[in-house]
Amino acid sequence: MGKEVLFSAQNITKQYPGTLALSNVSLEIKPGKVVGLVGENGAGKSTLLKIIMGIEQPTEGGMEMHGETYHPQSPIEANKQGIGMVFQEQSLIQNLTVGQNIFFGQEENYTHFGILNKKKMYEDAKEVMDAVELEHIRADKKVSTLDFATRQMVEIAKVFHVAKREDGKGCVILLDEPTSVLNEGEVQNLFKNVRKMTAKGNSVVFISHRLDEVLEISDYIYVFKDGKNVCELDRKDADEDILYEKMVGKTASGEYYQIHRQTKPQAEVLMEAKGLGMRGYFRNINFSLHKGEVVGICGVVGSGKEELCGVICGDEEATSGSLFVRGKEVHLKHPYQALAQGILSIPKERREESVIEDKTIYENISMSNYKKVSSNGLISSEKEKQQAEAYLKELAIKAPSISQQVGFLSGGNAQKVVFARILASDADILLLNHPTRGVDIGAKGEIYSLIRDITAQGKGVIVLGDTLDECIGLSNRLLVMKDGEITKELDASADHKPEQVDIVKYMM
Amino acid sequence: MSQIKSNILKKENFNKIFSVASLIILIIFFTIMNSSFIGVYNIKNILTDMSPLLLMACGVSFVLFLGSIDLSMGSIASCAAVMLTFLLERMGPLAYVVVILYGLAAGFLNGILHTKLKVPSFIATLSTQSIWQSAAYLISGGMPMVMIPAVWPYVDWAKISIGFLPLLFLVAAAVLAVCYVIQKKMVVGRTMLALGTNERASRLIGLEVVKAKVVAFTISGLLAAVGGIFFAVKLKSGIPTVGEQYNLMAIASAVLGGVMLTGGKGNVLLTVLGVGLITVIQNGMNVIAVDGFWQKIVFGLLVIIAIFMNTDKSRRNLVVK
Repeated sequence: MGKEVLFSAQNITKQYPGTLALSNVSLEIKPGKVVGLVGENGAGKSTLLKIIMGIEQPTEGGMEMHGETYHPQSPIEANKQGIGMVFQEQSLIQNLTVGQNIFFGQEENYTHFGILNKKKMYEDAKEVMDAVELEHIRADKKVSTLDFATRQMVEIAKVFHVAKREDGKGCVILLDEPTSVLNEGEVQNLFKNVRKMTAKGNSVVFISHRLDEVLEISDYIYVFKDGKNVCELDRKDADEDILYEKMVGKTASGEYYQIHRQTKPQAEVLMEAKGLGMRGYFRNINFSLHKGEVVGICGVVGSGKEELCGVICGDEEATSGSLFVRGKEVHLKHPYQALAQGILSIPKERREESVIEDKTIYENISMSNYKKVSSNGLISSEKEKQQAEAYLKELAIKAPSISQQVGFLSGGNAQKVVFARILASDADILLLNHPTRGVDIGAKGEIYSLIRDITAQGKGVIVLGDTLDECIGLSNRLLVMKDGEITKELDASADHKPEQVDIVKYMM
Repeated sequence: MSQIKSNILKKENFNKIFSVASLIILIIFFTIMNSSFIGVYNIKNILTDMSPLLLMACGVSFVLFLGSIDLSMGSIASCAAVMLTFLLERMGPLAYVVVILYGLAAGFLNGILHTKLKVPSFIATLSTQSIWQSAAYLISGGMPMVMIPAVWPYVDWAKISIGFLPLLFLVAAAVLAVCYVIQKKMVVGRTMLALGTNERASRLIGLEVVKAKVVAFTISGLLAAVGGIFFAVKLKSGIPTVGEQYNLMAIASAVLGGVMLTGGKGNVLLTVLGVGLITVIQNGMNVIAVDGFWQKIVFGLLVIIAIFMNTDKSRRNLVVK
């Protein structure tokens, strides 16, 4: 296939009122290649994808597909030309089945006299799923019954299918953060499928915050910074440090996870689980959390780690065993009861579970501990604002003012507001469920540093890492869960970090 | 981003601006039609008329903050009015305490039905509406009850005014101030607004979501009953249908004051705008002698317009919880 180009964009500029989202960006996608796109949040990656998909129109510049002018007005038009995209926010319709979702918009192929032939649709759907090795997912299952990771795989299967329709000519698949909800095994499965696609002459554009994944799968990588395309690198010439430097404009400062600042756990036990279980999800969980300790819980989706986390923070109820906080047994039914014991979680889905988006930064920060900003039992807005100003400085939250609604902040800054709330709560047993999900690299470093500060104050932290690497880097001790049980406990002190492979073998 | 923000600001302010502007225009209009409209006597009248509606609009605002709705207020008010008339003869001033307790209990029941039995508020309060309406008919025998002269001393306080401010209005204003403190300064009020936007997050943040819901319904029930007391003492009688239209008017007042039906947004203080507007229209129509049946058509339309203007059409879920 040589030097031919499947898709190209020339000098794309996108001007929004007040902001220049993209400035003179050019991009070439060669057939059979995987193109990595990296950049911090707000660097312009998503805007470029939206333009390619016809969701937004460029202010200047043009695109070509198969050597012809390409100017889509809608995603459907883009699909017809052979460009499909897996969106960061899922676009499956929850109360339809897997099969109905895959053939959404093509129902006329399956109707006779107005009646839908579901059997045929499901047979075809099965083929689509088989093609991406998802045989285990039944096509007649409702999407709402699937977990998040599985839905993502279904969505990817659907987009692969959209591309496959175009026979003969190559297609382009855009994957926007497809792995943020997948575990290691599923990521490998995805990569296998990506390679299969490209072997047939199709191309894939891969966007991820996880540089290791980008490096693993991409043939060449575009780095974006502030709406500009700062460089194009061949995989051979790139490593994480180089990418980081290009993205952020400075070199990665020393140890990423700040392992040198890892505190030694104190003798005092903050929390202990004895034979804890929740019917159908996990059983017989025993572990303790000490002051100043970070305990990491690893496991694939469905291993029961999420539910364990839910039970500890009072969101779910345990069905067996007991939980002790500072030596006293507690029975938690609601998160506020857990909070009264000093337990607070940062849930996984930030927008849905940990911020009130239409409320201001200062209101959000005081929510988990109104006592701190009250006098005589009444909340003082003055105190709330003073507290927020202090955290704004301390955590370097970038916002025009503390009266900004949290919904308008970027992922990293919103997460820092959540951390400010957690710090203001004075809770000392913190459950961090994917604390760096959807957060750009600069803010990630700051969050890692915060976690070190938290343990230095003698608080205990339980981490469900965004990646295995993160889990290892942050934790003093690792619990590996599989099928609802702890299969292995590993020491991960600063001078004794286990390798990923050692952990994965207990997860699978 | 700044543009989106300013749009939202505009949207939120739209109803308030509309209410203030309409209020001024209407006052001018009715004054031109009949100059006695702006006289001291009529102003006193308007303020007295406003009082029960102000209480009820204030109470229902809390329920609307949750994104829920309370349809039982009108019949709680009717039932309270009848109960007071019935009990004053029999137990004297203690009747006030009983009726207030009744309001608390009726609101609490709505809260429990909604939170513990998980009945949607729409259905739960529609059912209790029917229950309390029937109770009002049963107590009164289906007829308006008139207070006997012996109990008049217990209700004459309603006639007191300080300057041109009737006591009833002052009580309602004081209640409004307390409600404002609950909304802005108390954890339970803050929780209502937070959970109205995002219940899941509010729960995980560690807020007492169920408690806040029950408190909201209880306040609504209480203020409906106090509204009923106002009707009874004002008219010296217990009419079993007296609160009938007030449910709709209370919700409309809150919405005209900028409370979002989808929950999470609003300010109890501003319900006074909606209440003012509705009362002026009602009073004005009386002053220029519009037929009572036509008045109901005007109110129905007004509610639809108010809610249409206030609905955030960009939001996906317009379902009332």
